[in-house]
Amino acid sequence: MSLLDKSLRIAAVAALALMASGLAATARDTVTERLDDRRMFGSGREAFTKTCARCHTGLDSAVGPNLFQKEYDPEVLKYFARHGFGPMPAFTESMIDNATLDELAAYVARQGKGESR
Amino acid sequence: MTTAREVAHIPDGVTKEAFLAALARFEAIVGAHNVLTGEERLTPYYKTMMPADDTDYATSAVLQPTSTEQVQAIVKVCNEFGVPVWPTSTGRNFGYGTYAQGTAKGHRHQVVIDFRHMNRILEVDAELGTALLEPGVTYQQLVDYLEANDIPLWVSCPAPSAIASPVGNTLDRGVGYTPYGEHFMMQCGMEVVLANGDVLRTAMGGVEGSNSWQVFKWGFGPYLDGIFTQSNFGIVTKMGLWLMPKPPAYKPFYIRFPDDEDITAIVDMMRPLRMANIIPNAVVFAHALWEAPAVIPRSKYYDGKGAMPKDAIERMKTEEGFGAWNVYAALYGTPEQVEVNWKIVTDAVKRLGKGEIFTEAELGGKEPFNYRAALMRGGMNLQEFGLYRWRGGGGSMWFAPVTVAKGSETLTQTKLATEILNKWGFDYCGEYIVGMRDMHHVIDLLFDKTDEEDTKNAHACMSELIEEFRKRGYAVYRTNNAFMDQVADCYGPVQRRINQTLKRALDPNGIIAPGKSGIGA
Repeated sequence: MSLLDKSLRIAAVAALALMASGLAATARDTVTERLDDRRMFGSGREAFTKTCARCHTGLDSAVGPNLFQKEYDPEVLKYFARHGFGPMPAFTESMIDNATLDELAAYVARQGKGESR
Repeated sequence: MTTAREVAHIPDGVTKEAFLAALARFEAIVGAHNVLTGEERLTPYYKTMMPADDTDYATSAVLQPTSTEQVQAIVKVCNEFGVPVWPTSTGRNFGYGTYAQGTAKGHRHQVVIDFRHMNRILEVDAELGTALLEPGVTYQQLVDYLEANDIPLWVSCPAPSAIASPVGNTLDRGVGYTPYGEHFMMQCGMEVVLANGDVLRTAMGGVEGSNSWQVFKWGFGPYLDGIFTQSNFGIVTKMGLWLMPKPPAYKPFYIRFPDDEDITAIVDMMRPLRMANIIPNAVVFAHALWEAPAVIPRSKYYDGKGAMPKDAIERMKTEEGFGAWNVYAALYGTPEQVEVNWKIVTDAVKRLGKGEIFTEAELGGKEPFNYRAALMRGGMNLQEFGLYRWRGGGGSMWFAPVTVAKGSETLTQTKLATEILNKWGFDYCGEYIVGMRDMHHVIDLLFDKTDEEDTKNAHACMSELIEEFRKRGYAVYRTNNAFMDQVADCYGPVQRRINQTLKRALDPNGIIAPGKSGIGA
């Protein structure tokens, strides 16, 4: 038996063992609620963390500028969020509603001023 | 009944009066707050990465339905007033058009249906490893749900993916990097709103009381799901997906090859391992110029005009430790399986006599290995977004010809693509993603959209790539709106005619996304 054949046989046996254990999981049939524009993010800070932070918190490989390093005008931040810039996508109201974007921009502006919240 | 809204654009072929009347009816269906018009509210929908004037692809309005019933009512209004609608899931198909709709040739300014508010996870069956989703659900949302409920299932996602939609990606026949990386192969069951307002549930979904909609793909009679991908024959409002059981052991690895010509031997070495499922995932062969953007800026080695010169590429490879080709793959299963398969893989590399192999032991925590290892287990990240920093200026198009998994073919394709790209002043930023027997040769044509000449050259370059590849029997599997007609032509007149026949039968008034994939009204 070649090594290849042997490994395939082991794979088949292992797959059966996995099936028998049922992966220790039970069926969970769930209908989640619709995340509407108010509930998509709990706060502006959460929206920043989940949407903006990947590009804007100063990682070596970040595509965009570190928004915590300078003091930005909240209106400018909102403009860029809605229009995008270069590789940055534009964010629609269905992704970040106006109220959350206001909070997000105010949160980022506070960080630029060196405030902790 | 009409509406006093201001509209900046009217769909081609529709009078302003008819459009305003249709908008009033849309308001009654989805609520006035879910009908977006006016420059300020529509601006985020205009931005594209294509080498085209974004105003040619500007939407006339956006509708945000919250239910299948609302979508049914919308298409009835569309038929009555002749208003075309272009459905999008989350509009994050970067480099393939994002929210762009229509074509510049007579199908402009369609109404976008933004499904972002239809974002319920309808069912996850942890035993069967299936999910039923609405189109607005994002990869992040699905992963969050699985983690919050401690369900040991993995999602296969494209890169970058957190804000993109599993339904949207699957409908565009996108790929990921896990063993479930061929996403449409892992799709099972759809709900589709047809142009006449009927709701079709495909395969087992048509059987009253059936509980096998998400487990048996074929049902009885013709298999229909395929005709609703990359098409405009209906509007998909629900989709079933298969999710991968989290394996007990996972071993990602990286093989570095120094020379451009090595691609031939790499493909021929990896193909049998992939076909035998020793390596079960969508393996990647990334060129140095794909590897680099994820971790360094282009200006570190070249800041001049035109394509990066060969000597700069060689210097970058040496100093950064990149291979000409960088292979990422992984093993999955029990620890025993992984051990046996690891020996098979390392023996194959030894036999080849070329290629250095690395694992997490040497590269754990370091980029780009780190993000590649994450992707191959469905871990989302935005590392590859670095591609968009490489050239700057926000222009990106994917040129993605299909090739057979044979070394000789890859050498031909790589040389041809590099020659054409370099001629127009662009870098070959390419990788091969390995399927069962095919490979997606994915090249990001990066250009500066703020530069008129660069944008013009990018358009000409893409067109030449499509044409020169077609002459040699190659065609892309997916493209952006500006090139859909040209790509459809590559597949021949008979395919175009049958698509048009289906379109006329299912959507006689041509109200669903006319122009999509080269299929007109």
